[in-house]
Amino acid sequence: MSGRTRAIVIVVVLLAVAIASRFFLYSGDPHVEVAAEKLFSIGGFHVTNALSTAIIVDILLVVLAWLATRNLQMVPRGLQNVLEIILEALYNLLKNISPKFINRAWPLVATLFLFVLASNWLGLLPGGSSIGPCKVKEHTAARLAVVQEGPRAGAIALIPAATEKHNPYTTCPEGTTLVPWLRPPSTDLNFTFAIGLLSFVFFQYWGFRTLGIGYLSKFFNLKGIMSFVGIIEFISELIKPVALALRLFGNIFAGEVLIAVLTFLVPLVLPMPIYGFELFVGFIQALVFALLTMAFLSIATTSHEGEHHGDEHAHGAEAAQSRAH
Amino acid sequence: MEGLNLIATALAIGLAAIGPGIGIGIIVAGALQAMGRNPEMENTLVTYMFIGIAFTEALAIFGLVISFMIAFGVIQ
Repeated sequence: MSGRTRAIVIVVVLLAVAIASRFFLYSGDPHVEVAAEKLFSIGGFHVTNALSTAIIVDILLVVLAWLATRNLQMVPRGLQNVLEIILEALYNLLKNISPKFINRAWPLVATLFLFVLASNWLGLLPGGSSIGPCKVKEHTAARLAVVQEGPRAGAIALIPAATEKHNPYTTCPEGTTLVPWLRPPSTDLNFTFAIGLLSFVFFQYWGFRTLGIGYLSKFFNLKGIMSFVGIIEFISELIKPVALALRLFGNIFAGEVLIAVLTFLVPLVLPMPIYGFELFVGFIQALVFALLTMAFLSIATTSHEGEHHGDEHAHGAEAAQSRAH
Repeated sequence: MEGLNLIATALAIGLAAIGPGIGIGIIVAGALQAMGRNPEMENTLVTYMFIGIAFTEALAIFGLVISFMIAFGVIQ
């Protein structure tokens, strides 16, 4: 069989599997929920599925760190070696941005990176969003579902909760919906805002600590046009944690919705490359969160005057050198 | 009302994707040109390229989040 025939056969078989899966593995409406759902509550404190997954991620990371460091060696082997390679690559990447503050920021930034990475990738576990208890619906918001009757039957549309049909493909009884045990924390705005604020407080603190009260003169001063620029910078400073939070949430949540909808349309073949893509997106978003925290720290700890002085010194040194030559 | 919600959902992300699409194209084009001229700088350039992409992409993500909020009835 020539290579070309083989390629054609593979494509035809994949197409056949994809089309057949649409009829034999049909799984009902995609389950998409913006807010994290409540699993149970302990004395008025609601434990959502995002929170329980965050705790699982915590345990995973702590156990991983313990396993890797319980027998430290100068010449690393096994798990210690793998983790050292990953963290060293990250360290060198972050050192490019701010060589001066890398050692101070490293514990926080690396923790954020590992935590966000683990929580992004946990959402890609098959079965993660399809195993869980059945709960009585409490919300009234609209949701994505298939239109059952009328001229648009079969299309996906927004359907108010009141008219929503029971999904016969789940094992839940009528009137209840499935609440998955696992939901990546990054698809919960509470979590992303929390770590966004954490990183915000962190680089503000170091900004004040490095530049003293002069840090405020970046935003509020009376130096002609710079006073207006300062106000704009102040607003963009306040937007930073919001942008950090929404970026992470939007990317990961969009990935979850994409996989849910594609799995509903074509259960096999089509979602598989998307899984690979979402692995990449999850990694890049974790990296971007760490990089941006580092970049904001580096911006917060440089004063405008300092830059100018530095430039003048550099120019002066160059001029002196060229004169000497 | 449902139809208007659908249009709003589509417009929110559709319009928000225009600018960042152009912007990310410019960023990556610039980074690739710089890497082609000076391959030794590749590591630094990739880092800053991703930071730039993250800033630009955030605009599209704002639109995406707004469209999710309209779609799932968080804001009406």
